[in-house]
Amino acid sequence: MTIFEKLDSLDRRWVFAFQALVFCIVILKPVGLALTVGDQVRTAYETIDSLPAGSIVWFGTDYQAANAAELEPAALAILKHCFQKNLRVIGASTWPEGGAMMARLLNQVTPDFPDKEYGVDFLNLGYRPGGQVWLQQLTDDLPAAVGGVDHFGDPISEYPIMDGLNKIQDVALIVGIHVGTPGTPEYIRVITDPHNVPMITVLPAVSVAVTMPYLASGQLVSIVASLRGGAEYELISGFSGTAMTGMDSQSFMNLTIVIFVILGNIGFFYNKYKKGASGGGGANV
Amino acid sequence: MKREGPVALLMISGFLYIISVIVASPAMEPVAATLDDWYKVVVGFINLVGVISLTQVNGRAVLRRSEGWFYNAILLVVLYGYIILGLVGGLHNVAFNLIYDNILTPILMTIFSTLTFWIGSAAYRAFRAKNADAAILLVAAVVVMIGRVTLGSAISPAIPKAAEWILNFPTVAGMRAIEMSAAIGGIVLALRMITGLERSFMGFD
Repeated sequence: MTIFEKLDSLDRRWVFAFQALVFCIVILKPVGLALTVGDQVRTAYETIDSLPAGSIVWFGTDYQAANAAELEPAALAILKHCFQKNLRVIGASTWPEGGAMMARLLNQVTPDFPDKEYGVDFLNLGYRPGGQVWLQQLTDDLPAAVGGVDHFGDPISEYPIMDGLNKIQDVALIVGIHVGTPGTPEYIRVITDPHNVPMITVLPAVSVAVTMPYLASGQLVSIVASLRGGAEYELISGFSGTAMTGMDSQSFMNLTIVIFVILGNIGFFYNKYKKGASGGGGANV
Repeated sequence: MKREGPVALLMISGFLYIISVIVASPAMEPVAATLDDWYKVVVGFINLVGVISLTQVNGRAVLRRSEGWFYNAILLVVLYGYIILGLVGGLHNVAFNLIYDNILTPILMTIFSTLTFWIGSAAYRAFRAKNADAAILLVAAVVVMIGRVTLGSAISPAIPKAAEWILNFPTVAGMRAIEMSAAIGGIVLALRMITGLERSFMGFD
């Protein structure tokens, strides 16, 4: 068997090994490829930047720990930007792990903003069951929908951040960090569309294609997509984080996959040609 | 009654909810609100069903000393241990949060991140230009993969633009068609369920 024939059916362990090798090399020796800020992230940044101080930004942390590596860099950069602009932040989730995810974000960001106070500048309402139905209830009576308590079970009526916040449509902006259902479509259906509340959504790469129609129709302000979106937000906001350092490795991992796809096709066409030349009637494709 | 009861409950609650939305009368608001609360309670119990199911499956394996029963036992110990830890002190419990932040979260992040290796292997096997359709898919995938990372613009500014075009036009057109079809299908399925024509979800023919 020649090397061209083998290319069509390489053992998957070769693919894994090359990916691991490329990843290690690029992490140890970053190339420093230039990163530019795209229109989507610029729009997200400018939207948050233009909000008046004191405005409330709602963080819908509808994701779980498995997605944190991809989504947290963008979420952290946005949260830092909100605190820098003296915006008030309220987090809540329709996903069971969402409350813990919001707590993780706050635990990482608040040390950089020691003047920010829980219940005054930020609040974690945690997870509530009910998905879209619960989101609908937030539009009628927010304190009642959350049961009057925060993520830790403490009463929210004592917190100044809740003053005047009776419905979710009272918030200035929604930042949805979404990976599935409930997620961006549910927010659009019951909150952002009927009540004209602007929303920016932070998504994993795999969800971008599904969500693009909402952006094209103007139902979303912007999509901050994946680690790349996080890196762009870090760049434009000046809050450096893990996303920018991961850009080189992501680039070269994608390149490795593309190279293997090309090699596989070379092997495929070589075998097809060989079968045809040997009178085998050609490959059955 | 085992068959008719759930179907009747579904029909009554389904029609009541639809009427409450269509009529939008203040008189119907308590009905919709009550059904919303019922839904939240039912959803809340899904977690309990999960715990019961896990206990049954893994408990049976432990009792029968099935192959790998030790792992089933570990799962049960961790499951109930963590539940008890959460119940003692709630979300203020330091040990509960330490375990979540420093064990569970890194494990889940690592498992999910290693998917990139499987995606690489799957792409290598799946993307073969066997015909014109497959060739178009392959080229589009390669352009988006390279165009969405920093390498794309380093090679040529045209690659990110091409990737954006693919996402903004062909993808949006295709996804709109799929989502509209799925929405119409969802409405039809909901109507079939409410009217009792669709019973397979309850285990009936």
